[in-house]
Amino acid sequence: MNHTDIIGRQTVETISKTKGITKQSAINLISRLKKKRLVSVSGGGRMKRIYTIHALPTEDPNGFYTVVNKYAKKKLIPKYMHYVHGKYSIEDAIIDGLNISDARTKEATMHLFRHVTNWKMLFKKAKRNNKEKDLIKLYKAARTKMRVRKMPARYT
Amino acid sequence: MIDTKDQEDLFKLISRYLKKDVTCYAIGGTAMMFYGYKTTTKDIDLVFPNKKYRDEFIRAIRELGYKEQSLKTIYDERRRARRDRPLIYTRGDERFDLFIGCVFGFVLPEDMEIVQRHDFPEHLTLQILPVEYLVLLKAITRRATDHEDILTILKVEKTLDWDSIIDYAISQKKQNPWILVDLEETLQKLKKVTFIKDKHFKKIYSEQ
Repeated sequence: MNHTDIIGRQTVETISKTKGITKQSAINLISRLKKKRLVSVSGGGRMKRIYTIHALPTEDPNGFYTVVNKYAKKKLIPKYMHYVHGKYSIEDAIIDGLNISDARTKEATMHLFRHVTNWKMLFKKAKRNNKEKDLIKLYKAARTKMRVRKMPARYT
Repeated sequence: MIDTKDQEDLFKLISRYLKKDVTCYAIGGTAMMFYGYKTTTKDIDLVFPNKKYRDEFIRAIRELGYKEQSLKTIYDERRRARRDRPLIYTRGDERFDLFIGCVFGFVLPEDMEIVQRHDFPEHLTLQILPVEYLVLLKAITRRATDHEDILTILKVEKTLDWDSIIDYAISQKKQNPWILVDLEETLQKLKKVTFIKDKHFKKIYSEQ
């Protein structure tokens, strides 16, 4: 199944035209490519569906930038694709945010304090990364700017 | 030979045996697998920023039954004689080539840009370099298989940032005087299969 001629953004119509096949055949082709992880989809419903056909199988990153951009008001542009092969919690993301530590990342990371569920684990990870002081500083800054979960007194 | 899924499972397993956090760069076939350019590799090439990380990694894989192997059947005499030669650990068909800080004279800068980061909880982080670095490393090792790998990358990428590749090589020429010669020779071969502007060759010649 050679798909190199349709790499990039396509619609059913453009694929059908490029390949010289019917619309239904184009849909079937997209379905087969999706199974090989060669397609990302955006739109659908009332919005025109646009397919991004990739040259290589892709996996969506599931690390820091995915988590932080779920909650941050100002989304971050990922510096790299971050994959986690295992569990990745809000607490892990806060520590990674502190490690990356530029101004935009810190601001985005502040939004994660609203979703912390395990302060003990957060501080344990902060201690491992020597980021306890930075963590408390960022938390206090977050408290002045937005609603966040209250940090237990024993940590402040 | 190890495939993408096996490699991922292996790193997860190794991470469970690590007692301290270890960060390293994946290069060679391993990196190509993370990019998706290939689905199998015969060895796993890792570069550690310091000895401490490499020693901890070795401690973990030894616990898993990996044993140190001689470089004799793998690298030529010139590479075996180098101070920065890697340590090789094998178990069955799987092989690790473990470098510290540089790969046969090619120094990995400390502030290097990474393109991918793979975390294997709790302790292992693998970072993947830009594809231009991978191509340069393969261009200067000059094995037949490395040349094939560059061709594989070019089939997918169509164009590479040759300026970056040449700039990286120029930055390394002090510690590695042959790097521009090796790179130029590789580019001459690649010219037969892909378009490489003359200005890139002129840049190399002006620096030699």
